[in-house]
Amino acid sequence: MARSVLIQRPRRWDNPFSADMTDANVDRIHEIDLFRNMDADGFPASTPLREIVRNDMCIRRYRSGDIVIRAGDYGTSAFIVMSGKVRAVLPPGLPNDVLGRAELPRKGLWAAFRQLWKNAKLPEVRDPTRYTRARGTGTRQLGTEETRIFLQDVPKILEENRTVKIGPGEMFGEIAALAREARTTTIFADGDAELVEVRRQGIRDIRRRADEFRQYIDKLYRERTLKTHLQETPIFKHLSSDVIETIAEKTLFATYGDFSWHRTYKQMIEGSSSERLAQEPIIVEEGHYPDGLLLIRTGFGRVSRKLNHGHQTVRYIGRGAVFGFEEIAQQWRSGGTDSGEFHHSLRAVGYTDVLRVPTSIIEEYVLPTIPADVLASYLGTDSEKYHGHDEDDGAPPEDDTAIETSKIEFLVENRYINGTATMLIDLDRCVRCDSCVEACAAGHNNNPRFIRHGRTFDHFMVANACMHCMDPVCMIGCPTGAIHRNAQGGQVIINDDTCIGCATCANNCPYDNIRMVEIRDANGEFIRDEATNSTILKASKCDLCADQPGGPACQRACPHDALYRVNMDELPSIAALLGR
Amino acid sequence: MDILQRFDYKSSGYHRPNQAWVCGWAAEGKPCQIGPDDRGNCRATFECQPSKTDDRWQCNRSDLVGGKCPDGPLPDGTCCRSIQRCWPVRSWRARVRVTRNWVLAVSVGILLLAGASPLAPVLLNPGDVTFQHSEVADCGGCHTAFEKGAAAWPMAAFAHSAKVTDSQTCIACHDLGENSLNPHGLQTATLNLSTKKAMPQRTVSEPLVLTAATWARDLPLHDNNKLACATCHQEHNGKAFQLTAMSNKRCVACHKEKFTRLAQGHPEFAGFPFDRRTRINFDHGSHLEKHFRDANVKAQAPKECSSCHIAGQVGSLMVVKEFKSICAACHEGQIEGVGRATSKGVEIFAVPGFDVQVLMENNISIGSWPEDAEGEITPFMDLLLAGNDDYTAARANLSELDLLDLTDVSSTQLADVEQLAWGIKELYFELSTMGVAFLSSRLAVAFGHDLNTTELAQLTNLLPADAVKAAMDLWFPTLHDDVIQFRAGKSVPMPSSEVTNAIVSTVATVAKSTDDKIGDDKIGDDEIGDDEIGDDEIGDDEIGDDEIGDDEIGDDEIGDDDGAEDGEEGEKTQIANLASEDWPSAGGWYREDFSLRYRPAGHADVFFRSWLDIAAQAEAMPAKEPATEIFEALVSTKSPGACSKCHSVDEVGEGIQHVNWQGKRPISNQHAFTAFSHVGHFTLLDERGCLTCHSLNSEVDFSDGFKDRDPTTFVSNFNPVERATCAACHTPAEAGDNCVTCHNYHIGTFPPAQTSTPKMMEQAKN
Amino acid sequence: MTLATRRRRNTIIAAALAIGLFGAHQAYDAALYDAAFLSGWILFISMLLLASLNLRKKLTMLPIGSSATWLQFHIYLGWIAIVLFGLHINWRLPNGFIEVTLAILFVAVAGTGILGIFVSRTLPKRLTRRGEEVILERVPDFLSKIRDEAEQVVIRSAAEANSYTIRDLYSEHLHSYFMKPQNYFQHLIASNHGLFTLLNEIDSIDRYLNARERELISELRLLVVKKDDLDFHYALQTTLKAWLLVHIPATFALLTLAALHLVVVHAFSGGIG
Repeated sequence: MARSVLIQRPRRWDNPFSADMTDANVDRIHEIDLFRNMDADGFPASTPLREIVRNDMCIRRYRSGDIVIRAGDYGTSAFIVMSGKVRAVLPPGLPNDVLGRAELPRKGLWAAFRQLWKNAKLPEVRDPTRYTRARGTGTRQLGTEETRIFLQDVPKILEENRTVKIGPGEMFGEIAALAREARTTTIFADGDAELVEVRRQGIRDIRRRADEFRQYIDKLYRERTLKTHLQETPIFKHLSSDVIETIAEKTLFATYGDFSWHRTYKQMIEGSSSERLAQEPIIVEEGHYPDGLLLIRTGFGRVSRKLNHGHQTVRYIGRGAVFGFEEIAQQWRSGGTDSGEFHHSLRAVGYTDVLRVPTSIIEEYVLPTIPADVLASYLGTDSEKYHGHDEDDGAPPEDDTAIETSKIEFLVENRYINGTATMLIDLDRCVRCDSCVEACAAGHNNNPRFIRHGRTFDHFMVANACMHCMDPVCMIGCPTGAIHRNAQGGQVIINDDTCIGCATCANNCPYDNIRMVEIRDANGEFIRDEATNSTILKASKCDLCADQPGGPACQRACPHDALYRVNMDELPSIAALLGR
Repeated sequence: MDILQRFDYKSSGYHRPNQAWVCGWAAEGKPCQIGPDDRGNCRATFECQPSKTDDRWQCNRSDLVGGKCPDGPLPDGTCCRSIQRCWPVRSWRARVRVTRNWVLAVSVGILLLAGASPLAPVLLNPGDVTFQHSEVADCGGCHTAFEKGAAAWPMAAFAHSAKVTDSQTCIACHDLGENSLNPHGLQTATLNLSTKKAMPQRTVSEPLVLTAATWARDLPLHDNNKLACATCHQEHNGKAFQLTAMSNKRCVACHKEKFTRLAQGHPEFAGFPFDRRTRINFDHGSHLEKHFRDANVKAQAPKECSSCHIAGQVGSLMVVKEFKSICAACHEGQIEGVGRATSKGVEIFAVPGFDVQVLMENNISIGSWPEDAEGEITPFMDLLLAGNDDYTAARANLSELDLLDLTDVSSTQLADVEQLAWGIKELYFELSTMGVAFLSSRLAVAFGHDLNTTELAQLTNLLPADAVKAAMDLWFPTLHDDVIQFRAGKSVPMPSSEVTNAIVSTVATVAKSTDDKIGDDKIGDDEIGDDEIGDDEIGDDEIGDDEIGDDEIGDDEIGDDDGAEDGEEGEKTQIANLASEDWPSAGGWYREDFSLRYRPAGHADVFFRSWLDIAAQAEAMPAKEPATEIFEALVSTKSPGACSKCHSVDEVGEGIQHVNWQGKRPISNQHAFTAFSHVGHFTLLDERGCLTCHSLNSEVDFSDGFKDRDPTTFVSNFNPVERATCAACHTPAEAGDNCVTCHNYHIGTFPPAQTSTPKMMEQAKN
Repeated sequence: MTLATRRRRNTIIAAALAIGLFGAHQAYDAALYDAAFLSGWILFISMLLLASLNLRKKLTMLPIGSSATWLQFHIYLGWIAIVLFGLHINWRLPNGFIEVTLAILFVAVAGTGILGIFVSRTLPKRLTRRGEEVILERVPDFLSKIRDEAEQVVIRSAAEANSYTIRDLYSEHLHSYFMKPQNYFQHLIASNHGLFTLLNEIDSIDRYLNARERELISELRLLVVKKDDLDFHYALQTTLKAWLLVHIPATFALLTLAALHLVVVHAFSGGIG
């Protein structure tokens, strides 16, 4: 029963953004000033502008009140107004329930205790009345795929909130798309409107080719997020804001890898490690001259070095990490005698967003002024922040906060590094008592929200429980915003009330950690759709017991210290766990 | 890797171990998606409920179970895939819960049975009681709570303490006297006293566990210092359980001096086992080292300790065998007075000698009075005359006067003499006429209480009437008339000398008649004489043992053997002596010219013994002085019988004496602090035998202890037993050094557990 | 703190406590009290605390310390309780009905407890090192999968090679083997005798097979091995659950009767104090 899947190497535009991009539509989009003014020749033959439009864009029609994007949503595309107008709601923005978010207050002790007998006896019991409750929004089904949530009382919204109008030709949502960040504002259609949705790949390619478009984007980007990101980076902390300013001016952006890696990753995981490695675009090559300091904005990088004929992963780095500082510093201190080439290669795992601060800038502004201790922390080994065992080849590390290569390889290649609350089970201690599962069920109205199975490495299992990813691809494309980050705590949670069971998130999750369930009434009978008589599905997943007083019940309920929810960003603690 | 599991949500739904019921098909690996209800009933129907859209039935099976099925609904709109019904089974979790509930139910059942059912005693009994208690009817026999019924038990358990009440049920049978529940059954005061007396010397540091114990809690004493029996005696530990077993650390729990080993911490045996001089004044030193080696007596001398000492009842005490078997061989004679120089009998009645000439000259009218009488008034006579105030007064006035020389005495004194004389004559008159009845009444007066026949018999020891009669005929031929006259108030003048002579001649004839009869006795007497020398030598020793003063007298006796005859006494007295004193050689009453005497009839003579015993109480009598005199006379080592030579006299109270007729004897039912069994140790002795523990101490002068009447001032022939001697074997490893091996907890004299006869009879009735 | 250091620390603490209790017991006895009451009460309270782990497992939603901490407490207090029990019964069997029942129950609970900790510390390691990590309740599912595959192979053998050798082998030896989990105890004691003999059977017919059949039989062989792994997991995981079937129920019985015992001994010994 060998099930080794054979696939064609995935290529650009294997799966176009929309099926119905007729030439007519493509032409219409071309009419928009933004594109009309673009120099089509700037684009290479392989990816002409027109094809980008055809494959990475589509036209969407909105009726008055339809929500286009939702504050807090996790967007991957930008919008351009074709006709009509949309309105952006300025802070404080629309209330949670309008946005389809759940209010998830922590239960009090008593409320928590009452679950003992209040919980349903049967699985997936729901109170159907909840779904019919008025929420100030309505739901419209467009064909089979699309669903629209619309604001029922637009005038009221308009008078209660300050909004700005966005007219034809104007673009919005591109930064969130590029930076892979949550939307900052809610935008809805004010009267019927046609919008062009451009998916991220499109924006990226256009930016690469069209100068003024790039400048426009970069300007926005520098203003909005770059500075803050720089300021948060330790080695820039000591710098004054105008120095940051200048650095920001000089900083270059680059994006590597496949933005929607999660779609292809499942097939890829079946392949050999070298195949996988081949698919990870190289950001810097071991031994090259460090032309600049690399900062990871989003995504992850695999740090590897050549070992015999292969590459040994020594660590992985994620958002906020710097790469190559040590080399630059050495070079600078040696006064140029030390060519200071990169000790390691950096590859984009899935997709990676990098900032490149030119070496000259670092030498001019940073190194002379950097505090000794910060410098020290980066020199010697720049793995101070991210442990991973470095020089000694494959030999098990003395340092107990280091992880064997094999384990790192596993975590990286399965993209588990994405998790902030990955469930690790030490199978050498786990007695398979399912206390964790029962505890979970007790906290979720008698429903477990994870499964005690999953991929294993060494004597550990990464169970199928939501990892609450740094880069939560599940949140891409939720029509109702039911899946979102919890306002307090930032856990990725699903609002059962607004979930429409479209399974988008479940299909998106590369780790199989979201499950669709058929909901039942108090007697355990399936709740059915009045129209089709089919059972109603809801997406369900671990919410890290966001509403429970004690935090994740699974971890506390494990009697044998086997189960841990670990933040992959905190390697020392993982190392301690794996190495105990 | 080629694996069985699929992780995607379509292939693998949530696993729900928390559910009580599992679809019966799960065992085949094909659970249906509907699943059992919360009571474990199968709810299987169809895999979908088709819906009708524009006149066509649509399958709407969920994607989670494979989405639309190939065949689609049946024409009538029912799903083509009906689910076979199953028997749902319990989940692991439920199985544990169900088992738990069953077991719980059973144990609660037991609980109820134990609480309220005839089975209760059987169920609750925590184990067999000792066979001694096996006859106790039921729990209620000892546990007062039992009767109250199960409902009251929790109350009884936690509300109050009935430990003492429960102990009463023990005491009902085991009567330990007054303060049976007090520590050691002693008065608190007594305990405090002895606590003071034996204030700890802290020879060893007390064991940590005991220090801890004192931190832990105060002693479990209940209403004023009572210890519940159960504190030490734990029942329900099996038929053969040792109820009286007691660990050392528990013994010393209450004690000031806390130690647990005999070898370490136990105080030295101060002078043990001697707390007083021996009751029988027997000097082991001189006997073992001198007399028993003497060639003459070697033959009779005892060979082993056991010749004289034998284990008494319960083998604890070594008692001295009786006189006959161990002392008599050498000492019988001494008691009977064989070879005794001074009188062999004690003088009971006598005629005091008066200066008859002077009395005649002064016409004192006392009737006839023998001229030759020259005796003294005996304490016995004083005793009998006690209560006769005239006599007592006269006796007091004349105490300084020598009645044999009344020249130039005042007339008042003469009057007193007259009183005295009549007192005596009346005494004899009454005696001769009324006999023992008279004595009994007089003694009753003297002693201050009536006498029963036995006492009277012993005290008079069958004084023969004839002896009295004969004596009176000889002493006061006209006694009868004189006293009648005197009582009639007529003056009774003293008769002229010829009358007297006539009387005397009759006496002489009587004497003569007896004379030749005793003639041949003389030879026998000489033989005895030889003995005397041997005896004397022994006597010598004894005397040497006693006082030097006696020595001289002894010498005189030998020296004046012949001289004595032509001494003050004169011929006829000498004959009378021989005739009368040696006649009752086996002891008894006899007359010697003007006195009636009693000679001890061997060892343990009832007369001596009864008089000593009664006179020992002189202090408490109306006739204190004469009684005391009697006692002192009899108890003197020179008195005939010489009882006190061996039988020590203890002053047991103010002026109250006690003659120790016997060596120490075990007292039945007495429980002393220390109990030692000699018998148990015999087999362990090596060739040193008894001396292993009782080493002879020849330095001391044993007799010192007997100079006074205080038994507690003494020196022993033997060195005290050393603690080390016991500790040599009594180690935890060998003979064991458990406190209760040698010590009793319950002190006192009490009978073995037994209900009183009336109680028994009651029981018998119902 | 690594698990080893934690174990060392807890063991030392527990040992110290046990010794302390032993001393206290002696002292109490030396103070002329019935030390059985002391050990009895402590034992009873300990048992309540021990049983409270079960409560903790139900109150997962409350922030009352991690189960792991509770279990550590449970394990070491358990050892102490055994010492206490020894002291309480004075290291010899009691002879009353309730007492004997209590003793038996305690031994059952303590015994299964020790067994439990033993299997909990040894079996997981063995599970990790062999076969695929599956959920016990899903074993039948995978079993049926394997069975189906096996039967497919047999059918194919009959069809493609039209010979009955494999079919006969299957119906004779393998059919029952694939029906349900096998060799429970063999797996427990890490013996693979069952598998070994089965594989021998399969290999023994090798010489009568043609090339095609060889392919098929090797497939079958793989399935047999895979199924054996499944059995192995079934056996060990079942054991990891089964001991609780005694441990927990016995505990409840023990506590009930202990309560009765407590009341009775106090009532019949003239009450507390």
